[in-house]
Amino acid sequence: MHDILDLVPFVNRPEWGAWEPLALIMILAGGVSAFGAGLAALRGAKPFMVHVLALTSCIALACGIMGVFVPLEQPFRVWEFAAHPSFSSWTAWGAYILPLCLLSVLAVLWQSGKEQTANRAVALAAAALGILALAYATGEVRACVGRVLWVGYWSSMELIAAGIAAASGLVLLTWLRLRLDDFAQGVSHVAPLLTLGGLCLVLQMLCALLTLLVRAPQGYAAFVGMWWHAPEILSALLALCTLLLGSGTLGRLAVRGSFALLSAMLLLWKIIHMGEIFGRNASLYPAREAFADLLTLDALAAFGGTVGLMVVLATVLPFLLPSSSKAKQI
Amino acid sequence: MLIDLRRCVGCQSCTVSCGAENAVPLGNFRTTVSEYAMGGVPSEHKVPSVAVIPRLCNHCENPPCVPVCPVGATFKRADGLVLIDATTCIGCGFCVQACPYDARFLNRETHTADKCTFCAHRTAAGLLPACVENCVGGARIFGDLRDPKSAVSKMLAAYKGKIAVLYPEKSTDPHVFYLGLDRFFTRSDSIPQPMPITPLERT
Repeated sequence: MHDILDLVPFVNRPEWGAWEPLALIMILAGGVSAFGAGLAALRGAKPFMVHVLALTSCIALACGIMGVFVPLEQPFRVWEFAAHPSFSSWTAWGAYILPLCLLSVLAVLWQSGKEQTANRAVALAAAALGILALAYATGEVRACVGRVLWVGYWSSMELIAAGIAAASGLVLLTWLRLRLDDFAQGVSHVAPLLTLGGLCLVLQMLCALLTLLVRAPQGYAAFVGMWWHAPEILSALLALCTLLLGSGTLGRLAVRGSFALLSAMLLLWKIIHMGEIFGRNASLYPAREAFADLLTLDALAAFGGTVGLMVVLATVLPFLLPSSSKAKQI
Repeated sequence: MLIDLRRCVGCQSCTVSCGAENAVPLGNFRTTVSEYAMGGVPSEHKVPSVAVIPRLCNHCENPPCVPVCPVGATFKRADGLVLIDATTCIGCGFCVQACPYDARFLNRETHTADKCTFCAHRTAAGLLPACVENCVGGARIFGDLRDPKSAVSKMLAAYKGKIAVLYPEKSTDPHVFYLGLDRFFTRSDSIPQPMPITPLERT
């Protein structure tokens, strides 16, 4: 084996920015919560459980669809999905799966708010479309065979684990948004919220562990520095903060939910965004720069836009959709 | 296309002529020539040398970029060329990520995916691709693989067993062939050491 030095390192800058990990995490969280909402409705769970899961799914899916749409170079050609769909592509399937999933969870949300017995067909559709949304998000990543880090079956498992962590964080935040007063008065919602807060912490630690397990591909491993491990270090620090802060107050529970969501996003950031540092047959793009992209203006705008849409939807949807007294009880 | 690496001097005239012919934006390349310094291997009596590898779209028989396109903008023509319909492309970038050869990029001027077309507009007029026409060493040989009398078919027959392709493990069945390719470069995960100055710092 002889030493080979890259004299003209034409390594393309990553083409994907913060929108893609953000869109993926939102779609995965939306898929997990849609499946949860459908399953809860089918099993005859309390209307509030169905309501909060369906609302979370609506918010996450709307943010996910926005995240897919915004970074398109030709956003006004979306009609091509209907005019010339190519169903060999997961993206073409996603263009139908995501809106249908959003519609089905909206129907579940409507029913849970009106004290109606959940329509089994609608609940089944929400659960099935939730699974299809997960299949779309993982399949789309695995289809990109040019990116070695994305194509393994383990990446699908990690994406789904990140989706579960993000969904638990979002459900906690949505629940807190809906039941602010009840928590302050120490009534029925406190115990399940504390349990969910504990689950968020466990899933946060799982995200840190899974992020640590994402290894650089064989040939590149020798050239990857400590910055490659920055996401799991940040995730572990967030988990430590969560643990030290505890869950005694509304604010601390909100921190648990937000940190669970952020840890899941960091896992995806490493797989999707930092996975692009490996050029094909070329020396790598610096891991430090790929990680530091988190703080670029574009990335911050993407995070701000997504959080803004989440807040708007979490505020507006409960006012627009029916929410009966029964659906407020757990 | 066959690239005879014994004749390539790494002058990048193919890179420049392609950019001029196809109005490729600054900073992007439809073709380029990678250059590597290779250390000697005393046990194999190999002396230190410089290796060059012209890179471009391989117009694969099984192109991974085609099935990932959600609107069918990337397609394989009957004559084997893999092309992009710029009037349909939505610029989602999945084909860029799917290409194992890093041959595609998002053109920020046309807002669509872009890559080598083997100068389809020139070949339709009976001309050679710009990179072939301008190669000072005559290293690039272009022709119809289905025509046994074409220059490329004759070369492939003459050097049977010595021809290599990039990343055969990807099962893409590429149509850019190399003569004199070092084994090191045939696998995509064979990584050369980066220069002390990283690409980012260069920019």
